[in-house]
Amino acid sequence: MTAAEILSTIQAKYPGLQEIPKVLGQARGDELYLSVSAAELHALCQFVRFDPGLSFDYLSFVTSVDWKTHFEVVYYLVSTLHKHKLVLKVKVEDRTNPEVPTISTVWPTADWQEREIYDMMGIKFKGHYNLRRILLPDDWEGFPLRKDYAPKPDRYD
Amino acid sequence: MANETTVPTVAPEVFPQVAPEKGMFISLGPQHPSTHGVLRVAITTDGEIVTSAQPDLGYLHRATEKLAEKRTYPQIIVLTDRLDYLAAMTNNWSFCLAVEKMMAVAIPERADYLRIIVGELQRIASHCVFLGTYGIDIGAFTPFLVAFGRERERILDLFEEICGARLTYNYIRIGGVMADAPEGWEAKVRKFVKEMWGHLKEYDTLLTYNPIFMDRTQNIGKMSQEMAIAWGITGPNLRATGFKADVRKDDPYGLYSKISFDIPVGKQGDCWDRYWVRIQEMRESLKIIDQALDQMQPGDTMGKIAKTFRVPVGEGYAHLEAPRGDLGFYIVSDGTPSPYRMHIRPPSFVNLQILQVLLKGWKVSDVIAILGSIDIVLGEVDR
Repeated sequence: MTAAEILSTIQAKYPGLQEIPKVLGQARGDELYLSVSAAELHALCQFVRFDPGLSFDYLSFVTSVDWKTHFEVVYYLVSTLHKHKLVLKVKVEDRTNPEVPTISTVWPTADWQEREIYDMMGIKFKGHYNLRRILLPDDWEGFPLRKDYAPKPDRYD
Repeated sequence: MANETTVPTVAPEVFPQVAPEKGMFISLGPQHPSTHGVLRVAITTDGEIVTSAQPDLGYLHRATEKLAEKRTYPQIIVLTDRLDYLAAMTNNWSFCLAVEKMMAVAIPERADYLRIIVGELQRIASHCVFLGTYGIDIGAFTPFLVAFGRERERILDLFEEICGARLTYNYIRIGGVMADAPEGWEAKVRKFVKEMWGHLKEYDTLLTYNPIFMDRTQNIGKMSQEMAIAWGITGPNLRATGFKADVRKDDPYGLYSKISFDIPVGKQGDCWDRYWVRIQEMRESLKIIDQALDQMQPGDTMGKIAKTFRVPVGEGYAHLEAPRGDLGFYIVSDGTPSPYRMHIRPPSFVNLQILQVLLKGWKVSDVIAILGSIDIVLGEVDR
């Protein structure tokens, strides 16, 4: 499917969903970018995963970006059957208690990737069965990939 | 939203379970020689049968993604060398692909062929390490001396000649490659490729069809196709389940579309299939190197790119088929000399997750056979 066909298939079910348009002069791939609200995310993921025409069965990666005013969680989906791609972006406004529903129940591969985002940026994934730090020690203070993270001086500083 | 109950879901057995309280607890690692680095697996067993396994990682964490935010783009190539240290060439390449995609620069044809040659040589070298260390895991020491100590050394000699380094190359640069191949290098590669065909036959007699090795690996650690895709498994581990997927074919980069090669696939996704697919991949790599050497013409090896450059505002994702699977770099740029955010999609980290469900139900003696067959590099798992 082309990007326009994917968009119309999704919009037939979710009329409110908007494409993120490409800004002239900015670098971006030719994938379809969609902006999703955290409330709608889980249902939309179920739909794009199991709809036979879309069949996004492979979640390539999940990551997050700290934009100082808000967080953005990025999901990169690929269909191994149709070879088309889709990027979902979820904006998280609340910086003190950021929360997004987990999608590890749709794609188990999100399990550790969501744990890594929690570890590095402190975004909580609601419904994740085992949400704890993965790379850093359990008693680490703060979330290092946040832009306002101030490292604690150690004996090398 | 339609009725939720009509929506199909993933089969429940693919989800892991947090460790049960009953049973014997075994801590495998972090300094266990068979974990190929520093990985700890917390295993609970009922008699000899594994009931749960929880990998514990982070011992090698070096905060690569955070470091990248303070460095310029060419400086980051050096950091990528240290991710999967057995396949530094493909790491360099993947990062450069992402930056080149954002900047929309053209690569000279010769540089693209040189990338293919070193990338495929790197795949052979990496699979040689797998072959050697997997043999040791199972109890065969000779393949290590042959594959790791002989063939891989020759590839490292070739790399040393082209870029001066044996492990962390920094050879593939944004816009091309660091330097052209020295005089006589292509002939040496051709000689190596010719001799490697014979060595591969030797591996088959040493390990592949060795009855003891086959007993230890066949029908062990089976992974279904559905399970592999749901867990995001890529590379030889996915192909061992019989699923034809390769970034070089599905989403071609560089000049792979001009080269003909097969994608070897396994039958049932057990440990032996995962091993066998890698051996076949070495054969395909040899074919690719031969064709690339035939097609390569003299010319420039570096595109027209300024010494100091800025990447346009925006974002980009590029990925390639590294020896361990789908390696990608997601870069967000704000127009400054360093990236605003860089995310690495590491194949080893994603592949390792499946250990939580894959080990369940197998005997303790099979744990090492299964862990070794997934072929992880901890430098990439922890980043």
